[in-house]
Amino acid sequence: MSRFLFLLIALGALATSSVAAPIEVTALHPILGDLAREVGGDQVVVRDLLAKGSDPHGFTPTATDLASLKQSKVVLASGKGLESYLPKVRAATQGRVVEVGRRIPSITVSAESPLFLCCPKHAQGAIDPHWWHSPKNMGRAARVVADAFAEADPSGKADYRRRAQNVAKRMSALDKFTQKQVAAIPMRDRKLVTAHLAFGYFCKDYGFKAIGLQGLTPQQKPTAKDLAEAVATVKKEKIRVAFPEHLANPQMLQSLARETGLKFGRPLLADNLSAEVSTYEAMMRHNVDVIVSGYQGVK
Amino acid sequence: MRHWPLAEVGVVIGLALILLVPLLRVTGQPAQRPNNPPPASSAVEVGDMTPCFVTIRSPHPLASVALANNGETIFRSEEAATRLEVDLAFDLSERHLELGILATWEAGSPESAIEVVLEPDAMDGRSVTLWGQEALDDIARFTWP
Repeated sequence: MSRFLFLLIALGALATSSVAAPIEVTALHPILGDLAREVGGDQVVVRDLLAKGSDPHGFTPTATDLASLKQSKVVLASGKGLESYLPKVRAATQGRVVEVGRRIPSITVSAESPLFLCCPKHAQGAIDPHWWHSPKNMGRAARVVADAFAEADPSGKADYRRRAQNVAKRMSALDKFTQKQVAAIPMRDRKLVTAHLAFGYFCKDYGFKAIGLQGLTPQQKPTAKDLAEAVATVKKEKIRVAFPEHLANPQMLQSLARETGLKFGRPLLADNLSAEVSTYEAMMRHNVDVIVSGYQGVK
Repeated sequence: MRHWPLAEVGVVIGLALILLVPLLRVTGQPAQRPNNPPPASSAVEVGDMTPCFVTIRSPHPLASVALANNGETIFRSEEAATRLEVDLAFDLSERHLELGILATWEAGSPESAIEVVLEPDAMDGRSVTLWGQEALDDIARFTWP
């Protein structure tokens, strides 16, 4: 009887402890999912709505996807216009969406901007949604995510803030690493030719100028005039290397290469992680290695 | 014949009621919803004020630091620290900000520096470094194009 009593008292004590259940989070992009896990630790359960290796520009959630969002306390969106379906997500979650990129400074695509050597007319004036290609931006994003989690779970605020600070420190180290790596490329050669304009924030942080043949999404097609302008720019600037992307059709870049003699580096990860490169940090290091070795290969 | 175990039943019911309290706490709370997101704008503003994450750093521990804006002290710390972080909000509608910085280091500290980093929502970060020895009373100016 006394053993039975002791067991019941122990069970009671266990149940009265104040460990909160983890909060359910949905990330609309695997890079945000990675960040959410770093900031949330075991106090969150994170689900990625978009699979690694999928194209976020062409993604549309199904009715099942939208219904599954109802159980999430926090939904993390990239923002800056990346998710054209965001109004549907807001309606499905009654507004419980945090646009992480909204609090990050924007880059606007403009032929007048020193960041862009040339760009298709249809991209002019648009906000570049690819803010994650800057470790500094990711450090700021970590705080946004921590604030979102703290609002949903005030008891975990100190833990979320502490982990966000750790992420920010790692992003600062990643930024310094990138600065040191790209220092091997002379400033006059820092011109990044890619399939679409996904690397504006990278270019801004590391002194490159961007040329993206297809505008802000890989689905956009350049006109014959855009292609001719890109050919002229590549020849005038004496650019020798271009970088295809994992999720973009290489045909447009191949057309450019035929006209200009451009060599190709290895593919960059522009819009998503992959099964083999499954964290943000790994993606940045992969891209830095691809860019630096691509330029060194044509010296 | 066995007696009816009233005492044991009473204990079990009592303990079940104790278990009920935390279970209700976990399952009975209404879902906490974040505030509706503010309307889209080039900077995330609350009224005319832009939320701003401020970092204050020094290579030597600061004995005290205070920030003032428009003549009003908006932040003060007397915690001995080489790094402080605080969320503040400023009117950045003119793309310009002046902050009064009052700082002290411990007596005997060598000449040192204080860096103030501002990261306003949706705007580029800016930093200013000021120098002083044991005490500093200066203005940090920040501008955005």
